[in-house]
Amino acid sequence: MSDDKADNNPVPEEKAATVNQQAQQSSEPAPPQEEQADNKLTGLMADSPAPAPEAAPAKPTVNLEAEAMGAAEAAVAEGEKALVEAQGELQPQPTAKVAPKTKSNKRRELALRVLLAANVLAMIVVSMMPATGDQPGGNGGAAIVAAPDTLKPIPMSDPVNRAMQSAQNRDFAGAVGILEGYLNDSPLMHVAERLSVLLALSSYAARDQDFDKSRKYAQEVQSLEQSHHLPEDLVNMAEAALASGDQESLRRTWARFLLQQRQIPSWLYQHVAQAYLQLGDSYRSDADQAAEAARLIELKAATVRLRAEALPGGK
Amino acid sequence: MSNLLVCALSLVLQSPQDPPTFVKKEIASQTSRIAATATCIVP
Repeated sequence: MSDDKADNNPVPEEKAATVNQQAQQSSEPAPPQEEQADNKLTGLMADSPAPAPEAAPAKPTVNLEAEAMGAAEAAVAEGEKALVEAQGELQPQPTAKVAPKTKSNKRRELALRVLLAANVLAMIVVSMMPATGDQPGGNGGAAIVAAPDTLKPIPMSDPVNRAMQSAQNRDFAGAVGILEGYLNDSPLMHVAERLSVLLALSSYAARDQDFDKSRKYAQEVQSLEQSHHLPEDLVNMAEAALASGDQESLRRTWARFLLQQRQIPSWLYQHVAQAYLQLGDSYRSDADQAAEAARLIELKAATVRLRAEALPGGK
Repeated sequence: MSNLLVCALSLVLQSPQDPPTFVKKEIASQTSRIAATATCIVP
């Protein structure tokens, strides 16, 4: 069948010849494979029995197939070579790309470290520098330094301070004179301040051996303490004493409140009953505690007496 | 307010020391009695 085809169709032979030429041209880089193919062909020709005269036209078909196979193998080998070369070219590229990245990261890291170190050094230098008024931070420092000065509202020229200075110098008469002048010059003095000045006057007069004047100022202090309490002030004082647990002050305040209950306004009537109750409770608890303490003392005394009586009897 | 209580309260205010126990008991009983009545609110 192949012989007929070869005879009837000479064109495929030409095509095969052209394919063979192309294969030869393309297989120039791999001459050993072509040689092997030729050797195979010659081996096949040698191994084959002596060709008959009718089988002579079959030679070109065998050669063409073998050449086609060889050309295909050569093409495959070429492709493999190209793949190997391409892989060889592609492999260094990623490493080359990664390397610059790592280099750039290292550079950035170094730059950041340098910046951090510079910042720390700058902070240390700024903290060690003395604060000046020209710098923005220096104003805050000046304000902080000036704050303690503003905490001295009372100058030493204050009469009270001058009187204290005189008293430290043992000039009590001078201190009394300063405070008396201060009282006469300021009639609208606050009650609390007047109270302290009168107390100081009484003390300095006593130290100056002027007991009449000391007593006079002590009486003024007492009258001032007892006179300026209005009923509503007494109510507030009683509430404060109750909150602080000062029972004695609570009793005195309510006693004063009850003694002037005829003068209290109507809106404070509700506190009258409260004053009675709290005053009575306070005195009752005090009396109970005192009675309990007295009873314990009596029990201890009785115990001691009984022991003293029992010991001689036991003996 | 009874005269006794007024005297007791005046003594309490005048004396710098605490009153004795029987005075405290008397003041407590008097104040409780007065507080128990409604008339104590009317001055």
